[in-house]
Amino acid sequence: MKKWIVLILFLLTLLSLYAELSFSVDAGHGHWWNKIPGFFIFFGLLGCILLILFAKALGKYWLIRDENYYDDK
Amino acid sequence: MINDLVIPPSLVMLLGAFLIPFLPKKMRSAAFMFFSFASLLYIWTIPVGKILAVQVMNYELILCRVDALSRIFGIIFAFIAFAGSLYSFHIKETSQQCAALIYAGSAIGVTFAGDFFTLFIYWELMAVASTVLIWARRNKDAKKAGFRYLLYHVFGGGILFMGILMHLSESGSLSVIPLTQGGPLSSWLILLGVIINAAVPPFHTWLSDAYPKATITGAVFLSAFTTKTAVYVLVRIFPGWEILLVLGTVMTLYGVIFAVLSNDIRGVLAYHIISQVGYMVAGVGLGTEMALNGSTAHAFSHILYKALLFMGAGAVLYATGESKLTKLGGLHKSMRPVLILYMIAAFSISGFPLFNGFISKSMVISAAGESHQELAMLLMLLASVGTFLSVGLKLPYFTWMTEHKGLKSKKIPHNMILAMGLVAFFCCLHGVMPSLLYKLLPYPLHFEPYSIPHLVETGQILIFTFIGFWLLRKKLRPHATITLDLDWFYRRPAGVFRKIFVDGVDSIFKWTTDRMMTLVGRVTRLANNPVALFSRDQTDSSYSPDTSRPRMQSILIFVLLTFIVLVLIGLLAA
Repeated sequence: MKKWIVLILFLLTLLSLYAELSFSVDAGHGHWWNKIPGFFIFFGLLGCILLILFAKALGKYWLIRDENYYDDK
Repeated sequence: MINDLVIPPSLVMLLGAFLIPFLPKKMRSAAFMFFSFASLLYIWTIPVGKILAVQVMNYELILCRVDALSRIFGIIFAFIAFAGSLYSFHIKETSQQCAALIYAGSAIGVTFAGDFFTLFIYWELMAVASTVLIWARRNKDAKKAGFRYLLYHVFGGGILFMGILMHLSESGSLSVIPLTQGGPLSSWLILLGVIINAAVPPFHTWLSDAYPKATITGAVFLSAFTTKTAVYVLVRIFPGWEILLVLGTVMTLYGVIFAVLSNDIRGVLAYHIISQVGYMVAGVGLGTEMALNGSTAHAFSHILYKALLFMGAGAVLYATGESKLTKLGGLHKSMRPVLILYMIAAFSISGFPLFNGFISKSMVISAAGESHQELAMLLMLLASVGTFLSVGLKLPYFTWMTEHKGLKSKKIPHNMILAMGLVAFFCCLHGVMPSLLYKLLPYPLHFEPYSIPHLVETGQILIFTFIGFWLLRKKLRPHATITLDLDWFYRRPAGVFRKIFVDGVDSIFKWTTDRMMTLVGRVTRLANNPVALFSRDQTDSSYSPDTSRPRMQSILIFVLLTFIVLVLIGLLAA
């Protein structure tokens, strides 16, 4: 990844954390995750990784077939 | 009985479909655009509250009923038909033009139908017209997928009609009004008929199977109408049915997971229709005014960015002849305008601030939060991670970036780029000025999408989804494979069923026909020469007194035998 992209992402993350902490982020509905600063950082990263790994495992062990699978039968 | 002189908006496009074949060939593309635009103009100006009701036998059919909900769906259907007609301006196939107009007109017909019977007629018309847009691809895969698509919709339509008839016999009314949750069997049958068209798993395979095989321009229309008319009917009839919250939330993730595995760019987009419609279905399940507004707004936004995504993918297919990620790559230099316009749609569907997905998807998620449905809210947010991952990152990365596979790309017609630009403009416009969309919504709305919590939440999710993708991008490298889905249950046994019910029956008919023909042949030959039956000479020749006359001794033996029999009878009788 290019350095300027990394820098922009880093700055945006800092900005989001600053906004979260400064403006006492609360959607007004008292969700438990609002008490964890940077919750959506972990949510985004882990969610993305888990989705990829889960989908790939599902494909590898169960659902992936050759392109001609239906044509052959 | 006519209550009010209002022409049903669906008739504008249906009239166009009727007239276009009679126009000179050169004028047909322009006429296609004209009737789409005229329909948009008419729906935009038609006042809320208008009703056209007619008495047919003992039933009152409400051919047209205009309210805020039907109007907003009508506007977006007509607009996307217009954008689609511009995108397909270079297509000179009258069948596709007429099918698209009938399809769009029927979707508008469903939207403004005030009674179940009218709704059902348009519902079925949509199924037939949309099938033509799949078959028009004119290859083996499209032909087969089109048949499966049509059969699925005939099945769904049958269930819907059964529900309507039962509802009529129970209530005596055909009016399209909200049905009570957990009501009689008729309500469940109507719900089942509708969720089949909404592509709610496990009834979604008609979509993921057929849409990637449709024509380039046909897929744009397909992406807009069938599932969204179903969403409209759900908002209209089933608000607050809790099962829809569960089904919708599952949908959002189901489509996302399968999109990760898809190798076909239009396959990825098709699965993301299922995922996005999930938000709308979940919103209906929540049933609050905010949630129903959210479902409606998201349907509106979705039609725009999804059509733009299919336009972008279609442009790639048009230029290269390929739609498989394994064969694409490195097209950013030769297809830069398409990439830019595609990315506007990708940012929209991913819910980037300043794009229309941001201002509509957040309404449904916020409505889930307001209703204290925290699990549904988190799962929908997780699905939005998957949306950005597949549509915003994986698809463009492996199509336009990565190494060039040596594909040559031909020039894309200007009208295609122009249509993409038009739709992209509205994706951005509503993202920047959400009130333009919000004021069309059916219920009063107090929602501020650009709040700091919402921006923080979205920003963090998007940034770290991108980082997650970058870390695992090699794992997402496409492979030349297909992914089994629930259509396996009818596609895999198809060969066996064909052998039993087609080939088996066919061979029985063939055997019977052969036997009958042999028998008829023999009887015919015998009729030509019955004497041959008694002759050792079994020739096929016709009777001739010279050659076929029985020998003298045969006649004498016959006469003698007859005489003996008569004598014996006489003796016994005496």
